[in-house]
Amino acid sequence: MARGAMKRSALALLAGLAALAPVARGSVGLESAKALAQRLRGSGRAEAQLERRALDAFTGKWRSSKGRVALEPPDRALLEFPATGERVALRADGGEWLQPGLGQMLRLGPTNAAAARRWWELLLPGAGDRFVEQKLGPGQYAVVRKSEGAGEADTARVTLDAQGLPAQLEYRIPGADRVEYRLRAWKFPRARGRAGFVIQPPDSLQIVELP
Amino acid sequence: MSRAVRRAAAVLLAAAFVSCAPHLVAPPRLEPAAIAGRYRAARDARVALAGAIDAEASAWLRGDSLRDLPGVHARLALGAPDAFRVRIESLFGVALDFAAWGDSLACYLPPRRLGVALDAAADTLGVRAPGPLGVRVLAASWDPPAGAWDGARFDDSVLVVRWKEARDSLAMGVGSDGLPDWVELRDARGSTVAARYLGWEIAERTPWPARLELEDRAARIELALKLTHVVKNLGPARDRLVVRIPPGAARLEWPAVRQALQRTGRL
Repeated sequence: MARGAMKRSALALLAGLAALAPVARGSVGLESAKALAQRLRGSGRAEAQLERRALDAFTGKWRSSKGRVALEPPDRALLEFPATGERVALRADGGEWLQPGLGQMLRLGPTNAAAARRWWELLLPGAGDRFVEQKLGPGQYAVVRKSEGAGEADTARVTLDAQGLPAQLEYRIPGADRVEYRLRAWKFPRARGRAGFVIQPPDSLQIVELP
Repeated sequence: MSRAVRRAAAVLLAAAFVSCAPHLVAPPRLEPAAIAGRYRAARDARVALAGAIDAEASAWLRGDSLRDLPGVHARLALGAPDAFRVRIESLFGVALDFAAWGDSLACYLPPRRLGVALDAAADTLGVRAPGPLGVRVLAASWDPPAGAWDGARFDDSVLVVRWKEARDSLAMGVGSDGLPDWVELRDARGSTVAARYLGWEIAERTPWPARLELEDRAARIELALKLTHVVKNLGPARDRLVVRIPPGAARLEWPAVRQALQRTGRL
């Protein structure tokens, strides 16, 4: 399918979803992130344990890695995977991606940071401007990005726990990935501010700039 | 004890120490035929394994004409004798999925939803059939004809064997353990590609290349590879070795893909 046709399909999908379930648009915020947004506004920071699972194309089996995520409004996310030492800090103005296994730290510009943040930002307050959602069932939502670019027409499925907090975020890219993030043990401590979302480069690693 | 006696005793003691010290004598050099035999035995074991091998890979591309590129993590699948697949992936998904089998190749860039498939890659790209070449490089399964070993000569401790394949000239340096140190492939136009095997690890009881450097001397580009977790995978080849370009993806001609690859600094 040509890019134009794909774009038309995406717009049709968005229009269909909007007609089916106009539950969360504009500045109202997403139903799927409502409880999280309320807690975040109260405390300033959210933290959770996470398990990333990806379906391996070579073996057909799930591959899993465990880590932590921290979120702070308006635009900050931090992912950490202690087993590999991999850490990613994402902000609207850019970010850092520490990859000890490759001996490097990537310094991300706004474009790459936005691409990396494209699913995590739906959990932050104010995401209703960039996504539409459809309720699939109790505590289950399909969330579709409105924006142009790499993620156009991408859909994520969000499943909420008994408290209404995100328990699973799942997305699929045709021909590539099926990825699940399982989230649990949410905590809401005080905000640490921007400094908590900046990774200082270790001397031993090479720094690579990505715009 | 007189001074003369003490001096004589010291000389005798020193002589005794020297005579007891281990002598540094180089071991006898193996005959070329013995090294060739070791090479063939190790190669046969690698070929048997290369029919169904998966590995994790770290890769770094460097070159005068390239900007500062990040290292990448990839999954690698081999299907000897003529197929392999490389999937560059990270926490944020698959950046590039490439497969070659025989003279054909397919490449898909999921973030851009762009793909390309070539049935006669050698004609289009002006290189040898990419499938078998990739397998030979990654499995070090180079196969000099029997007669080439007769003319092999030592360069220091490395036995160098030279041979021709079609219009290409090849040379390979083999250590006394029967493992290749390096291979050079020079085509009819004089372009040389070199592979250096810098480290080996045991995979499934077989020495397997774990650290490689590949160099295109004309383009002044070098690819460093580090392989880990080399394991057998007896799953269906169509799942492991085939890149599927989804129906909604744009299909590009090769020049456009080259341009897209040059922009892979973006996630």
